[in-house]
Amino acid sequence: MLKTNFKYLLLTAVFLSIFIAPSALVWAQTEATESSNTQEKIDLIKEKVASRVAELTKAITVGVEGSIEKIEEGLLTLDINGKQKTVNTDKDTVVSKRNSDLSIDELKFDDLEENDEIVVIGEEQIGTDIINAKLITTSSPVIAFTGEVKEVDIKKFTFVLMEADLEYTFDFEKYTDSLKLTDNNFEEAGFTKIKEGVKVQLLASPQKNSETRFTALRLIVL
Amino acid sequence: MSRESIVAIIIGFGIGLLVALSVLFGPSLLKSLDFKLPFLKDSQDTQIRLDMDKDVDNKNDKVTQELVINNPIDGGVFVQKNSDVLVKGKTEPGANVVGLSMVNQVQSTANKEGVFELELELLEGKNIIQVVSYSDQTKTAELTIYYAKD
Repeated sequence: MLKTNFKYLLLTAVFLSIFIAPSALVWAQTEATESSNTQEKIDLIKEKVASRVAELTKAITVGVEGSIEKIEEGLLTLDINGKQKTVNTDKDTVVSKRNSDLSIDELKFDDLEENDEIVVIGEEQIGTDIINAKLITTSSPVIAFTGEVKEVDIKKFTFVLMEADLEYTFDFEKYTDSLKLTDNNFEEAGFTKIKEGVKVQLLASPQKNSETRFTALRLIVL
Repeated sequence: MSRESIVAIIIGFGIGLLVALSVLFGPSLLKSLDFKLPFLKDSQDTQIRLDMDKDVDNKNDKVTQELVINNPIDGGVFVQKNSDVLVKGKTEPGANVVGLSMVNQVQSTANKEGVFELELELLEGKNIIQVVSYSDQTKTAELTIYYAKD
């Protein structure tokens, strides 16, 4: 009887040793790994917090354009496609106006008005929407064109340019900077150099109430 | 204890230890030997990735035949003492490249790799830079650059 019980006990021990030994080893390993993982997670969180703090104190140089929504003492609220940013100015901030002929006039902060379209270049503290402005300048849009001249009106000083099957009319003004590229050199060229069929590349500003009429600012006749 | 019982215990511990070791170290051993099981999904994914890489390469090949400006990036901001910016790009080899900024203009010829450089001047504020490559075809690129004097 005792011998039979001992055999059962022995077989049970053998059976358990097969299943418990690996389980115990795996459990021990898992515990050690989990403990190690927890430490890694803590280190990772610490790194993330430190990185975020560094980011928040970091400033990046930005160039933005929008319309002035509100003017306060040395501060502007700028509307950039529906998103507001605060523009902070100081004694070193340059305020200027770019004229339609691309000349620049200096302005004072008080010359700025609500709804003015401006360009601001400065430093933005990440995550704050506050820009410390280095330059504020009012500007009008400039668009680049390249194409072939289709028509020239020498009486009205206008020409029509074809670009991607679309026609655009350009006024040639006294201040239009016109050049001709000959033998890899640029030479001053008047309106008379603009002829039907010649290739032209130019920068121009749009005229009010028209989507196809522009004022030529700088152009190269090829 | 009979001899058979001792043998059974030893065998039991041995098998248990082998199972435990294989569970613990098997995966890392297979990984270190770079042994990959032939799962169909994985190989399909790899093939798809390879095809995608080919597509990207093909697209890049096409892009290099067009006019590409590598420097500066569109929308870049420059706060510096001088108002110059070096425009670097790639187009058809030998193409006549003309850069036009709001201040000056520069002409250059792309080298045999199609690479060109143009040194243009910037106006304070927002700048539009136009680069046109003239060869069999006319190709145009534009950049917006913000500049403030430091």
